[in-house]
Amino acid sequence: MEPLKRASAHVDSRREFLKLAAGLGLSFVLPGLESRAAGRRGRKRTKSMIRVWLEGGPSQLETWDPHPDSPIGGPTRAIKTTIAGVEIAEHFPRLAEQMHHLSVIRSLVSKEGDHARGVYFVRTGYRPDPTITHPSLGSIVTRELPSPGLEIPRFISLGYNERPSRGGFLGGRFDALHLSDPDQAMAKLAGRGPDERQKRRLESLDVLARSFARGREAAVEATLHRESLNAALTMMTSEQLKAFDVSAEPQVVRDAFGDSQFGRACLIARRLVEQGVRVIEIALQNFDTHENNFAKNRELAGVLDPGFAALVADLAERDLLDSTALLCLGEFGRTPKINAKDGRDHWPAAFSCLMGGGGLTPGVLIGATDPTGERKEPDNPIQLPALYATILRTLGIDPAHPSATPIGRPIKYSDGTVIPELLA
Amino acid sequence: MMNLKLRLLPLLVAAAGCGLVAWTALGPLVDWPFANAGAGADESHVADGLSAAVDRVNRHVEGRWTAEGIPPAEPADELQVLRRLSLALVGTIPSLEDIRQFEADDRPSRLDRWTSRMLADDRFGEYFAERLGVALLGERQNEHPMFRRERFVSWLGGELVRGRPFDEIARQIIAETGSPTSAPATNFVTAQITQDDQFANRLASRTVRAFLGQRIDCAECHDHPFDDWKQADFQGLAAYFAQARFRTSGLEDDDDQRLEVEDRSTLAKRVVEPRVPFHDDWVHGDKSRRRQLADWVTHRENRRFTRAIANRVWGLMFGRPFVTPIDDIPDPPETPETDETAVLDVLAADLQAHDVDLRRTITVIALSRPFRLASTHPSLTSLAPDTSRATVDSDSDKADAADEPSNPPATTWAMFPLIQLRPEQIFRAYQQTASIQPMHGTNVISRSDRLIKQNRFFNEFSLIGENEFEERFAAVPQTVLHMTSRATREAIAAKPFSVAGRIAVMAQDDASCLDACFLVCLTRRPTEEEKSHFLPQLVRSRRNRTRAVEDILWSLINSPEFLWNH
Repeated sequence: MEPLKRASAHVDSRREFLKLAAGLGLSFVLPGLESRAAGRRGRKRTKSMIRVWLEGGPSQLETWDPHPDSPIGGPTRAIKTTIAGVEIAEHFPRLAEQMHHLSVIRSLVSKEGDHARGVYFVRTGYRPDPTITHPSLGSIVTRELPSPGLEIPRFISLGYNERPSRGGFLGGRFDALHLSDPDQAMAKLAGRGPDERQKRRLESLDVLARSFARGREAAVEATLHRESLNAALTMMTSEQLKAFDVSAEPQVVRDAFGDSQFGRACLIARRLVEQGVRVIEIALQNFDTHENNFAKNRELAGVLDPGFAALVADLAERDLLDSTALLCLGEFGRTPKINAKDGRDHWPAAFSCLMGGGGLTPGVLIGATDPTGERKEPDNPIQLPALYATILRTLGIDPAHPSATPIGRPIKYSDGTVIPELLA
Repeated sequence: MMNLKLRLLPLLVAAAGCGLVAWTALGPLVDWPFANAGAGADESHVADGLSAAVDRVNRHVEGRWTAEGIPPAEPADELQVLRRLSLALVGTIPSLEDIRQFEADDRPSRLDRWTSRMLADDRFGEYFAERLGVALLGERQNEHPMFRRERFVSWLGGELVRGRPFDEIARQIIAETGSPTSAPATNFVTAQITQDDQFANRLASRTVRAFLGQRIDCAECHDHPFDDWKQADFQGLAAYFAQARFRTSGLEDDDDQRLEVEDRSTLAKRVVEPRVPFHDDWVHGDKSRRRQLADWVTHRENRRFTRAIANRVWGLMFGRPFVTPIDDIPDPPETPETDETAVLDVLAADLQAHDVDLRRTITVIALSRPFRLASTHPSLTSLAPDTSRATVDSDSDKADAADEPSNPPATTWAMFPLIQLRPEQIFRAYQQTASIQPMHGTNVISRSDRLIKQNRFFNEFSLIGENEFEERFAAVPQTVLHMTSRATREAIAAKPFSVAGRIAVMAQDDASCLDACFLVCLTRRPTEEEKSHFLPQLVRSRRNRTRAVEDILWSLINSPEFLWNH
């Protein structure tokens, strides 16, 4: 990996670079490498969150809520898991072995059956509102949980994502760093070290930035140009970029995650957690199975199962699971009815998710859907805001924390109440 | 346009003759780049009664400043306005040659003249069509091999430059039949129909968003929670696209096709007949369904249509639409010009009265007072401690909502807003930085070369999302890219014919060399303070001047002033 070599070669001149950073007024980026998060394990660690995003609206019936031998189940069979009495779709044999670390909700409810609106709702926990843009759950966590010593962004989104998570009214600095091709992340992010020439260029840039700010200081500040520049300079030469280089992992570990971009992204996610990255989102595309639902889901599971199962197992093995909340879901579920093209259409009325780690109670099953498909409402319906309140709480964040908004109306991080079954 | 050309010709000669000495050192003038399109079209309507329309726009915005007690910014420097105009209309910054000619034009209202000059530039059609294409065709990904985005954009660009009425263009886009290659307008439908069988729904939603500036998407599944759109309205509109069929020969309409929908509760199928949500008197039968819909969308009295395009043109000129989000415009008020969208009513009526020629609306906006105001404002000079957040949020180490721009002078158009350039503009501006002359892509080779490079750049830049007017902040990966990308290196590389090379070799002295660097990148000359920083670098580097020039250009093109329209 050429960029990595380049990055490392310049670490020697790191001190000089940091001196320059200080000169440019970048005191907040000065890192203490010693306080690397990887040093701490177990419950003492500052928590992180990983959200696996199944883009397009995954079918609950082909994932965590199969109904074999029912009018709605289609050909999908169910298999036993390590949670007694909980079965998942047959396409997830490896995940079935890890289920005791996780819990299942089969009764998430939403009113948003359009992709854009559904994504908004499930990303933020709030329905779209023309007067305000709510922050993604990941942005809230990023804002609340500091990461001293981290030289790469605190919120990273891996894999192509049509609608990357944004900070909304919390501001652009809580946007996810979106890397649509995680395999290329190193090449894209590593950069030139601070040699004499670069130093001269940066000093000049500082002069230009100051003269441009005159008369529009507040507006220029709000562009985050300086902040991003500082963060970029710090990151470009950071050793921590090595977290993106999965070739450093033993072959057997890489094999376990699967030979796919998604699998590698899951492995990268674990490595990022070790560095102290607070939120990682991993996107997997193509769950919008209006046609050919069963074959497509089998194929998608072939990628999702090894990647996600290995992530759970790996975090547990390294004693990182207690400090890392996991969540796996998409914008809505799919219809119980199978359409004429062997597909399933949008169905926000009752859908499923997996969650676990980060102090959440494992092995819990919440809710159930009607195997005949006749009754639309699930048993024990769970509102998304309640799920997010629970996750925020387990990460040590007060869900009712009010944030000022540009329209002057304070808004809570989450409007829901904690789900007691999931928090001991 | 011929007239203008003749009128300006003597001026050109004068400019070349009197020659700002420092400039002529940088290379001979080439011929005018304009007037290579649109010749012969009657465009008297573009200038007809212009000042009355401009005054009306100004009156509405000025009324709002008074009502809200916001003083307007000072007028902007003319070179700065030239830069804005160039970014807005041709998608790039002015070349050194443009600046030289502009400065040599000492007659009054030179900005007005330059506006019409840019509207006749082939790059106007090409850039404007590319930006409009995002809303019409969607983003660049997973495209079917039969789909021809470039054909669509180049066709649309040609129509815009020759001033074809936008309602005609819209009708053709909605209703055209034929092959995506030889009938490029079909690509609007082709982009969706080649994906899956949900195309009619997507086309209904896209038509309403792009042409009427409103959203009915959520009515796909349920009645709209805020507005009047009902699920039946959505399905009725979708039915207008249901007869479109895509075959190897291209797009056609098949009268036997029906839109079937499934009731979500009973799961029963039923056929949906085409139906418009209001004013069915604008629809006339005995045409293809798509042509009926096209007539309705673009009907003279359908103010949503003209208001929507006016809002979009405003957005393309300022980087921020008059009403945000761009496709969530409130319903037009019963009596025009009676609510906060009055400016859209003025522009819409004016556009309808002037052959629906978008060049008219662009000209009105370019001449309006908001477009000519500075992007500095007294209320922005201090970084006031944030009082609003203290009341609800006591954690002082966290940045909060309120330090994001809630910026009244910018939102009331009492100053020109500071908006990050779109990747399309950054790419073109990088290219322009490398050349003294305006960059035209008229010949096929240079055009396709540019497209390849541009695609590579967009790809690196992760250019995604259709919400192109969502305001963005500097992001870390883009910042890294600006500093390190191939496009950046090419922009500043000192080669024999590049700006860096020519400035380094040909500038007469250090001061004119520095002037040239600043003009090329920032369309202004350096301040005294900047001179005292940069000149010593040039003095020290006499023996390796190209290297020093490259360094200066690097700093200039990575500066916020280069990357944010102001």
